[in-house]
Amino acid sequence: MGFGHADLVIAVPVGWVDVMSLDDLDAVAAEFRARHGHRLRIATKYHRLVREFLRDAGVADYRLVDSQGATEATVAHGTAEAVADITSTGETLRANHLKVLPDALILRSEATLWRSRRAEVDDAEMAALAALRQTLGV
Amino acid sequence: VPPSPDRAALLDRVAAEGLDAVIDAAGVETGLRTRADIASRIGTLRADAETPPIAGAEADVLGAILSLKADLPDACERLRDMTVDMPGLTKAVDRFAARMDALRDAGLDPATCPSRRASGAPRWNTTTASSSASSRPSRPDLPPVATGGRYDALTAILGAEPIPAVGGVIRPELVRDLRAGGTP
Repeated sequence: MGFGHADLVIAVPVGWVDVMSLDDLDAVAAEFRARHGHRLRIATKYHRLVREFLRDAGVADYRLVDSQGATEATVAHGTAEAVADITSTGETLRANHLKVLPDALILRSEATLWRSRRAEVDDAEMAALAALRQTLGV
Repeated sequence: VPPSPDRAALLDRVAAEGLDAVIDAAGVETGLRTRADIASRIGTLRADAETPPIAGAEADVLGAILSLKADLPDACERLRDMTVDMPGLTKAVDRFAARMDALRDAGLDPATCPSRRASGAPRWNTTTASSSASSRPSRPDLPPVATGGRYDALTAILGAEPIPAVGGVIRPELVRDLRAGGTP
């Protein structure tokens, strides 16, 4: 409907000046594991989407950690090294000193209105729908 | 491959201003990855950028090896052809041929074994020689009953001393179905 845009992206700390792409993330993940003794952690709510995306991108040495809210704060809290989260302007990520990887756009989404083709609709509901459509301009 | 423009620009900036200044300019540091971690990677990137690219013919051969997919005798022959451009490959091809002889001695026809480069995580199979699979020609839609190969690079990453590592897997559900006289 042209509003409510939100993208699922991968973001890393702004201080990672050497990380500009998924290839960099893959290399850094392998190095991180070697230097820190555990896998690089990516905090997210969207496990399946992120896992599939990273597999296709050839990024292997990471571990997803579950986060059901305030995902962007996990890096500052030391419970993750990077995040995969929904953002529309990137403002919250920036406020948490994170930057979006340009080639790590996992999913693009926007507000969408769905209507059942089969449900019975009475006159009052029809009127409500018409009013809603007029308000939304769709 | 020369470094990307972004990476080249980063290396130039680090060389001119120093890494600390570049990181300070980027903003507040967060997370467990330290400045030393980043400095180490910058060193790797610089060494990478200064390494001359490998010769074109050599790159072609590497590409051909990585995309090789054939039954064992055919794969062996094509690898043998490649030793013309890359003599360093000869010993590995000799071992490949020896393994085929061993299979033949064990009563297996190498021509029925497909061979391909493992398609797992790229980082892990950089020195994986080859993986062989036993599939049934009658059912190309099903995965191979057994697969296996070399896992030298994987074991090294997992912390083992460099050793020749061999691994394999047999899919029990396929064996069961085949024994039961058919697959669903």
